[in-house]
Amino acid sequence: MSGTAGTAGTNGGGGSAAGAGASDKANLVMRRLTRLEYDNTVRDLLGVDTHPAAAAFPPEETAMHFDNNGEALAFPPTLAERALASATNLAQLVAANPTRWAACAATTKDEVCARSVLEAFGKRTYRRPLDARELDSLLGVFRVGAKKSFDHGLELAATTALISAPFFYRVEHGDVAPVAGKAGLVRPTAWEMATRLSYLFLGSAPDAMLLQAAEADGLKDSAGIETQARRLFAQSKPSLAHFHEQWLRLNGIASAAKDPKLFPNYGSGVPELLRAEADLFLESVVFRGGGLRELLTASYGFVNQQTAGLYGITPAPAGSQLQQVAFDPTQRAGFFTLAGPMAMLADFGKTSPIRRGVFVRENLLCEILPPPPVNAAASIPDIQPGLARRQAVERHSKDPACAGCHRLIDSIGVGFESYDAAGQWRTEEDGMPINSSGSVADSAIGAFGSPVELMRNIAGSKQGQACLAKQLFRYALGRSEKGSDADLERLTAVVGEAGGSYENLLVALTQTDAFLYMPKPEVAP
Amino acid sequence: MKVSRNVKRRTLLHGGAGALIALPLLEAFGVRLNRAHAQAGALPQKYIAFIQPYGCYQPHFWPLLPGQSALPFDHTFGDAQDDLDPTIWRSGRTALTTTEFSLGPACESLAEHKADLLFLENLNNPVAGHWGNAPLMTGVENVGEAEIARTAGGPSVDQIIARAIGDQTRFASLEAGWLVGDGVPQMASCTWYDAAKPAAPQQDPSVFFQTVFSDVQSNAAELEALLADRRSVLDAALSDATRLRQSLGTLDRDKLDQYLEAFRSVEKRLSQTGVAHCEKPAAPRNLPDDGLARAETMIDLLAMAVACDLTRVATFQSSEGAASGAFTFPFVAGPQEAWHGMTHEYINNPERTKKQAGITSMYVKLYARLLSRLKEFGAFENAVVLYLNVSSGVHTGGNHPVIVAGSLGRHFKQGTYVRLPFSLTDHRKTNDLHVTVMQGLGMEVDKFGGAPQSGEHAGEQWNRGVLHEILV
Repeated sequence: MSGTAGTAGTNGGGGSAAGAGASDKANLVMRRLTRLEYDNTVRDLLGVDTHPAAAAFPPEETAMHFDNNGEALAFPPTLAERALASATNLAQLVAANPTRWAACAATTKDEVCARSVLEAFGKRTYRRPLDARELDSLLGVFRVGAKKSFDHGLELAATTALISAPFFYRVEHGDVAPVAGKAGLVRPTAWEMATRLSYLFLGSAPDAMLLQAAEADGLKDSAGIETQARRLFAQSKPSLAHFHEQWLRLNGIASAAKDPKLFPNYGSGVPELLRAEADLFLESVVFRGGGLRELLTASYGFVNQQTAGLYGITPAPAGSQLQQVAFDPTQRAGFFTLAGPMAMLADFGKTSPIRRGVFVRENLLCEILPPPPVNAAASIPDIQPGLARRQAVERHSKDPACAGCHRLIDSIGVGFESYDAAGQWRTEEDGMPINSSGSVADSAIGAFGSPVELMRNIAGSKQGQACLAKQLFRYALGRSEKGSDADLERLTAVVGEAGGSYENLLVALTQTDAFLYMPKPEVAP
Repeated sequence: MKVSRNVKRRTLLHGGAGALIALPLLEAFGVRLNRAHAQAGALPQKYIAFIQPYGCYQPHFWPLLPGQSALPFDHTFGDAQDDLDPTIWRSGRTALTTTEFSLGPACESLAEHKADLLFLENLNNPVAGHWGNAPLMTGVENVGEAEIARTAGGPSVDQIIARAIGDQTRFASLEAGWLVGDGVPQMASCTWYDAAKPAAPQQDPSVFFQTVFSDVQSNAAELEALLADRRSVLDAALSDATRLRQSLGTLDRDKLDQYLEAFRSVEKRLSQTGVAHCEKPAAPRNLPDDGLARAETMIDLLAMAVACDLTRVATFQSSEGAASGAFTFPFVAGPQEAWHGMTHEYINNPERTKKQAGITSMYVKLYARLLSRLKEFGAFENAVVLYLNVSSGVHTGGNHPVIVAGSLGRHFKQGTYVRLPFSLTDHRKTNDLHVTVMQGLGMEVDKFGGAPQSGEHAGEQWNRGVLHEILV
């Protein structure tokens, strides 16, 4: 692990993908529904909002922060078992009220009716019309069940559709026609494009307008896709919340425990409130026209009576509702300096410059740090009297075995010593003044005098801008950015523009080659 | 041991939404499953642990050697402080392995199971005292001494086993509880999904029944019809997917192959599920929270869940949290005072000693009931059923009572009393028993748990590997 200073690359590829340099061709592979997508899909398809996948399916195999990486997602036998159980339950629920299928399911109850029901249900479930053999196959199952009753027949056929491969996977065959000026690329079919759009923005199956567009064989030109993207952006709150939750590791906020003796302001219920604050802050940035700059520099938060004390807000707002408050802009800048993330990236009783520094490198700058050696201590030794935490960290960084990486991490992390382990602003530690200057070694961002300045510098840097573009690309496409350098460059430019809002970034994303097209499929022999 | 085998093949429906368990990659825990080993036995292997808190009156727990008799309740020990368990009990007790022993008075209820038991003396729960519940099962690794109070240290051994063998059954594991504390989870739960997430036991038999058995069908004809339905569904989905495969590129085919393989394994199991004496039990009546009947019902349900092959990893725990600590055990004769406080100072107090021994007998009797039920239901073969007491005589972790029943198919000695060498400083932790059991389950693992990274125990060796003393 020595001499690793140069390994903190800024490309951020990797993950489970083939080694960098092996090929610059993207590994495009069909994506399996995640638990969240499954639950949203069955909710929208069947009106059943019971979240069966969250309750019972095994968690996703994640890659590069995200749970929707097509390459990483597997299909373990446990999932098959639980998917079958879930499909059985869902079909039963729907069959309990046969008119949900179609009027004829309550009146004629014949095979003509079954055929029309399954045609319509199949189209929604497979997100495209069924081919003749697929429809026959569902009808075959229907007939088995229909020996008992018509309803039971539909129930079994619906169960089959809900465990089918075209339901679980977003299969893309593409249009046959070549695209002018895009050698080797074809467009997804209208149905496939409707699916791309809906899972990106809604995390669910195509809504009525997308279905309509697909039915009319629309969604073939960039302008039409942009129109849909702008429409869908307004409904993308849950999807973007899920993006941020994973990229910014929000789940850790609610489980950060603190020593109650040292941090009386960090009482029970506070971690959950800090998590809610982070969600509200991100939502406010995204849906009030903000972009990376607001994300990293906006100086406001959301507090209630219980959390106002952490921020030194007096008088505290009354009540339990979180309310937006302005912060001192010399103390707080954007998401990362909210109390939640600062507390998450600290220990029980003391700060952790290392965890904060690693987060900046890995999550905000998209660098990949090598893992610490196996025998590394999990936390910095307790402070010795007369030694500020900063100095304790500096001492540890001088050990040649650690210095290679910690040179990159600690000089950033100590810049956040102005926030104690509960995320509260402080100017001194044990009577010694806090020095919150630092530097981002081996990077164009360089030295900074305060955490606020660092955040501003990251927001203004090409590296910070490329990082947001890259993370959103990975989330939106469910793959690494391999083979899409030009797309990435364009998206990075959008982030850096004056009006580089999330909305513009997402719309731009739908206009990339990666989103508009797909490689001409090569069917294996 | 006599196990009546099933004559009539019974099948079991897998289905419905259940309380299910996360299955992260096993490799994350350095565990690989040796499949060939695991499948060698004719019947599936099962891991079951029975956990009780607050120690016991040791002179009445351990087996008696020929010519020995149990110390009376009014025996006077030299020093009655509760942290002096070792001097009370351990000195002069040399290492041994013998099949010549009789059961101690607190274990009389185990008489009919004696030939299946291995008493294991001088194992140490890694963490003594009030925080010992989670460490008993997690082995405490990667945490500082000061942090034990707020993190369990890692997944508990039952959950690691569940990740290895649990994917074969409807429930990767089942956690049942009785008188589990409602204090901080580190004290109240012995079972943990990971360092921060307790696998909290279900304490209500009605809820447990509902979760585990609600859609188990007991009517054979109905069951056959349901299985036929599922076969049709799977058959159609699989043949459509196989056809879809023809139109896909190589990478997509690889993905689809995972799907096909996964659903084929479900199909295969539908046709294979043969169960010993699986009978859907009757729904339990409403039972008082703290009555013994509740514990007995829970044990019966748990045993049946194993017999029905709904799970192969099961725990029954009564933990050291606030609720059980204040409990007085009115149905055990003796002083009616809060159990926890009493266990701190019962030595040299004959009335309290008798009560403490009585409570132990009661717990051991529940353990005996678990063994009896498993045998009755034909589920004991190829199982291991551990009795683990969180503490020793009182609250310390040294020499906490352990019984290993069953041998996972001839892995462990049975009908045997094994006393490990005693030393205050150089002793074996329960972690080594966990490793030994996991190896018996075919898991490739050679150590489990470890000493905290800071504090007085830092640097101690808490994981020495397999306990050869108990292997056949």
